[in-house]
Amino acid sequence: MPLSWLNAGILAWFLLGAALSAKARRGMGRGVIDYFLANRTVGGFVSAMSYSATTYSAFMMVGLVGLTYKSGIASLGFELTYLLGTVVLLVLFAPRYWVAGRRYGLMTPSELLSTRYGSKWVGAVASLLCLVTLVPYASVQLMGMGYLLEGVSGGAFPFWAGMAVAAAITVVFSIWAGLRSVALTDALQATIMLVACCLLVAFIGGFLFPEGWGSAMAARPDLLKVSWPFPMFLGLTLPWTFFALTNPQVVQRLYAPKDIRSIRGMVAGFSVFGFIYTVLCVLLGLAAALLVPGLKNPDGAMAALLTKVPRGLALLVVLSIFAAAVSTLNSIILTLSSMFGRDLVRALTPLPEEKELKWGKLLIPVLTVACYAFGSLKLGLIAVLSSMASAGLMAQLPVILGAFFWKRGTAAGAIAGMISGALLTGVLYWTKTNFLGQWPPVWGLCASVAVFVAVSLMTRPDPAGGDFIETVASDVKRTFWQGQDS
Amino acid sequence: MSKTERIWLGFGIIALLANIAVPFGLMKDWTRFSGAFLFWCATALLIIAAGGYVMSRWGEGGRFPCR
Repeated sequence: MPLSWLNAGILAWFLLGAALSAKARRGMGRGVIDYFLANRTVGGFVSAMSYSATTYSAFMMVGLVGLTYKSGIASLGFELTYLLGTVVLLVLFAPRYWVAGRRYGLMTPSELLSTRYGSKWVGAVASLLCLVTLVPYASVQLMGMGYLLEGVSGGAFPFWAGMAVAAAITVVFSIWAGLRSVALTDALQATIMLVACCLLVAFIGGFLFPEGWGSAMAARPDLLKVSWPFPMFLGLTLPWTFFALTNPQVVQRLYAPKDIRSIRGMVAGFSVFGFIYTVLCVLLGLAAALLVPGLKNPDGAMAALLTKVPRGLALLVVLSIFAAAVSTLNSIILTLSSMFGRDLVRALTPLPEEKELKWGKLLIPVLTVACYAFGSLKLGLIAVLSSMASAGLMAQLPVILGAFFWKRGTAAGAIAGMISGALLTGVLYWTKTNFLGQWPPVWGLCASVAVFVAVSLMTRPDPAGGDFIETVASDVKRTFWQGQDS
Repeated sequence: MSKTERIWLGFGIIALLANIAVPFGLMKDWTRFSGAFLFWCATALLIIAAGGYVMSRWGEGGRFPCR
């Protein structure tokens, strides 16, 4: 693809996003809640699109397409099991996070843990865990953009420049108006992602497979078989199934909707978006396997597929992948920045709100530069760390569930559970050990649950923790169920 | 947890288990779109529709007061 086309496309997309950011900035007030949660006034449509764009990264159009290209439709099961788990969890937990956020004035997911367990160190450990795991994950998004632009431009757009452009856009979209800007630009980016994907599948179905997908697949029926070994499926799917509770960039979004209708719109809109986008990406992977067979690197399947379609459509798809990466990246950066100020700096020293906001804003470019630095190392280490990310975050799961449902859970148990689960997961990944054939997340979760329960039973719970659980349960019942059932 | 939420959780767990057990058990060697592909799509749509129904029962409690 000519460099001039890429430059023009990225510039047009950036200007559109920047205009939205500027519009968002005009309505912005002061204070951390306004900056990081848009003053809890986000409507249903923007919430849904923003949640979708945050969740679905460049992995979908590159990684999932590559997985399908390599191993067929088991990847659909993996990704739809994630979606299914997320819908189940959101229906149960979105009301709880939403009322807890308002009742206790919470801003970050870790702050909920600090409040519930009565110790700021619980939130500090959870935040540190998120920082350690999500910075490498975020840097992989930048690397993906570097490789993508370098690949589609035939080397004319160098790797470092692709990363730098993505990093600069991330900072602009995030820092101007916090979540107001990120949510609006995410909505734009989610629209681009879905439209581009629909057009590409429609073009392939209409022009390249005129006989229909079923007939085309007759050449490779093996791709329709469930070919993954079960431990691999479980190891990949387990951390993703609980993504909606363990990944702070999506959990924080549950504080932001303005009312119950907006939460409902967010969950419903995300569910429909996720289903359509997933099925389309898997179809693209199947199409790539038929149209551009024999690639050594499956992650290059999308780039190879784009050589079969008109340039204009290819450019739109490239921009949609870029949008997917930036929308995930800016949400992660914004959430980590808020967690740094609220859960780490404030855990060490009392801080007025203005200074907390300054710390948070300062962290946005700092974290972006850190991600750029990580990415530019091009280390295999980063790939290992990024695959460890969602598994490492799983260590929070029992602590999060305990925060809402187990009064006996204690701060000491929570801290010990998170640390032990994350360490075991990290060590097993590092040493490439699949004990008893199972992947590290399975053992990490087991360790986290066991240590959390055991240490909690050995220590004294904070009486306020029980009050938190009862208050949230009562608020959910009164606000969402209005005594319909008990 | 309300009664509706408990039913929803039970339904979700069954759907999740079926989502894994059926394709990996019964449909492992099927080589057509009407096999695991269709099953996974149908299960996801069923959960999305059921989730929509459960959420439609949420009240309109209005604006919950912020602290």
